[in-house]
Amino acid sequence: MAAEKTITITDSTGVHARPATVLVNKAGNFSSDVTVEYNGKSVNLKSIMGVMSLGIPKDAEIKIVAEGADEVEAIEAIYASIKETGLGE
Amino acid sequence: MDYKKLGEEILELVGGEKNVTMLTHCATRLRFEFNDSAKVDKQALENLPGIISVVDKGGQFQVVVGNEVQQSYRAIQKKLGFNSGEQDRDTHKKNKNKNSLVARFISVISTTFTPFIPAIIGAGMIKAILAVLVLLGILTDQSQTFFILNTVADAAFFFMPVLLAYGASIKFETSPILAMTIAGVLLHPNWSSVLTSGESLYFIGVPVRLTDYAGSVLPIIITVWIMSYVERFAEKASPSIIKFFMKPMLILLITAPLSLVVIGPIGTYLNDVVALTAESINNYASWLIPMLMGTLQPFLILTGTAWAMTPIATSQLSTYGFEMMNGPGMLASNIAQGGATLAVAVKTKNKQLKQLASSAGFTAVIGITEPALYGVTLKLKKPLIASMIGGGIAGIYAGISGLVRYAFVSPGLAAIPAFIGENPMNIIHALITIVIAFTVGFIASWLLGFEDPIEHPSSEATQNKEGFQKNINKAMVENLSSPMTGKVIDLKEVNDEVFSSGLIGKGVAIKPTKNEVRAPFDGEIVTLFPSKHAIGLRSNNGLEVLIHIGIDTVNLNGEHFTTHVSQGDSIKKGDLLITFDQKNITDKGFDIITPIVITNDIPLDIKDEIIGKNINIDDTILNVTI
Repeated sequence: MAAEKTITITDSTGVHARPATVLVNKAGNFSSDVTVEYNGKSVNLKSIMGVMSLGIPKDAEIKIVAEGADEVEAIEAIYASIKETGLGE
Repeated sequence: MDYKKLGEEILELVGGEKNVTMLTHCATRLRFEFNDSAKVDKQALENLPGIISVVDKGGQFQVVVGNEVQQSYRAIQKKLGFNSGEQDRDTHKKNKNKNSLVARFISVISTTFTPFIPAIIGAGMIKAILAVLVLLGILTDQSQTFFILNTVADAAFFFMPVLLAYGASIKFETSPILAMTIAGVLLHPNWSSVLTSGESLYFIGVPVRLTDYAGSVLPIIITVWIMSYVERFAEKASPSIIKFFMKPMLILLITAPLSLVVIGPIGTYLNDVVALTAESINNYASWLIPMLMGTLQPFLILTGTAWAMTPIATSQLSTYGFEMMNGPGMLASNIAQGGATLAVAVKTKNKQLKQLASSAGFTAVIGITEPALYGVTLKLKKPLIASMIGGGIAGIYAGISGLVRYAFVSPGLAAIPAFIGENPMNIIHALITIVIAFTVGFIASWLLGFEDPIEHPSSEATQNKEGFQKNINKAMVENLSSPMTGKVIDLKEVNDEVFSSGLIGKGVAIKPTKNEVRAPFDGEIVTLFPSKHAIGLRSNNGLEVLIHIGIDTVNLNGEHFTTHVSQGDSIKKGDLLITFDQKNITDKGFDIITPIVITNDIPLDIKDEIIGKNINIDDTILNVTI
C-alpha cells in the first residue's frame, strides 16, 4: 500500500532551492519513504539534491508517493504545504 | 524502558493470545510455543527496541529480553490468563511433530525445569551459606540449627520429583495436581520402611522393585508423559455424569502402579546409566567434560541444549551434594564470555557498543551471559571464539583440579558461594578458574580483534537527507576548497531564511569578486537547475555541495548566467562550471551573495576565522568530516 498525489506546479520558477527545501523538510517529519516522480524519474523527497536534480519547471505534473506507517499523513501534509506556498495544486 | 508495555508489544507480534500455547521464562528470555509459527513476525520482534535477540531453536521460540524479563512475562501472562503455559487444549493444534526428536527432548527438559529453578537456586544458596558458616566455625554440622537449616535446603532436592511433576504436567498438558500427587506416591515414606526392612513387595503378583525416588529426575518426567495419555483415555472412558470423580480416580489408579512397577525402575536405570557414563568419563579424563562445557557452552545456550545437562547435574547434586558435569565448565565459559566482552568494551570506538559491551560484560562475569552472547560476541564473531578459547582452557584447569559445584546456580562472581563446600580447596580452584577464564578470554578477544561497527549518529537525522547519496566513504576528512573568489560571509547573514536558518544545510556564503564558479573537487554534477543559477555537485567521496548564485536569482530565468557543463557530467577539480554577469545581476536589484552549503547530514567544522576574509579559488573554506 502506498499513498500518492499528483500535483501540477504553478509557481513560475518551478521547484528550485527554496521550495525544494520546504518539501524536503516536510517529508523529513514522517517515517514513511517519500518519493517524487517527474519526467519518468523518481527521487527521494527527503533529499535536497535529489529533488533539485529533477529540475521541475512550471506546469510540470509531479507525483508524490509515500509508503510507510504514516503515508497518508505525509501526503496530506506535503500537499497542504505545496498549496499554502503557492507552489502547485 | 517499560517492560510491561514491551511484553504487550511482543505478544502482539507473536500473533496474539490465541497463538500462544506455552510460555515460560528464564533469567533473560521468554520461551514460547505457538499454534502457528507463521503468525510470528520474527523480523519485527528483532527490531523492537528492548529486545536483545530472537532465537528459534530447540522446539521453542525464544525472545531474549534481558534481566527484566519477568516484568514482560507477567504482562503477557496476564493477557493470556493462564499459568505458565497451561492453555485450553482444544485450541492446541498438533504441530509438535514438526520438530525433531532432539528438539522435543530439549523442550521437555527446559519446560519441566524452568518453574523449578527458583527452588533449587534458593535451596542451593542456603546450602552454600551453611557450608561457609561451618567453614568459619560459626556453626557445627552437629548443631540443631544446622540440622533445621539443612533440612530447609534439602526439601527442594528431596521432593524434586514433585516439583518437576508440575513443570512436566505443563509440558505434557495434563493436570498439575494429579501429576504432583503421583510424584508424592513415589516419595511416600511407607516405601522407605519397606526398603529398610528388606522385604519384597508384590503388586497383584508382580514384583515391585522399589528404589529411593528422592531427588530423581527421569522417572517422574516419563511418568507424567504416560499420564498425559492415561488422562486422555480417562476423559473418554468416564461418563460425563460421574466424570468429576471417575476421571481423577482412573488417572491415579492406572498411572501410579504403572509408575511404581514399570516406569520408575526404567527411569532409575536410565538415570543410573547416564550418571555412571558421566562419572566414568570423569574418572578417565577429568578435564574432558569441563573443557567441552567451557568451550561449547555458547553453542549449548544458542541451541537450547544447555538444558540437556540439567537433569544430570541435578541428580548428581541430590545424590552426592555436588556436581562436576555442568557447573565448573559453565563457570569457565561465563567468565570467559565476560572477559571477551569487556575487551570489546575497552577496545571499541563505537559509543553504543562500548556501553552495551560494558554492561553485558559485567553481567556475564556475574553469571548471566545472554546479553553478552546475543548482544556482543555473537554479532562480532571473533570475540565469541575468544570466549570459547578462554572457557576451554579454564575448563581444563577446572577439570584437572577436580572443581565441583555445590549448588545449582548459574556460575559467576555472584554465585561464588556455590563453590564453597566440604573441600576447602574447591573455592581456591574456582577462583583460579575464574582468573584463567577472564584473562584468556580478555586477551584472546583483544588479540583476535573485531570489526568495529560504524556509529550511526542518529537514525532520524541521517534518514532525512542521506537518501540520495550513495557511497559516503567512512571516517575521512575532506577539505572543501572554495569554488569562487571573493569574501567569505557567515551563512546566517544571508538575506534568505532558507539559507540563513541552515534548513538546506550548513556552510558559508561568498560575495564573489570574480564571475566564475569552478569545481572544488573531482566528482559529478548532480543538479543543474534550468535557470542556471544553482548547481549541485557530488564529490567522489560522496560529499554533496549546493552552490546557489545570488538570492532569488531564479527569477532571472537563466539570463546573465552561462553554464559550461550539464547535469550528470563528471567534473575534475578546477573545471569551469558557471560564469555569470555580476554587474547586470546586481543592477537588476538582486543580491549576488552565494551560499555554498553541504547537503549531506554530516558534522562540519566551519572555521570562524575565515569569515570576513577574502579568498581565492582553491583556498580551503570548510573542513568536513565524513
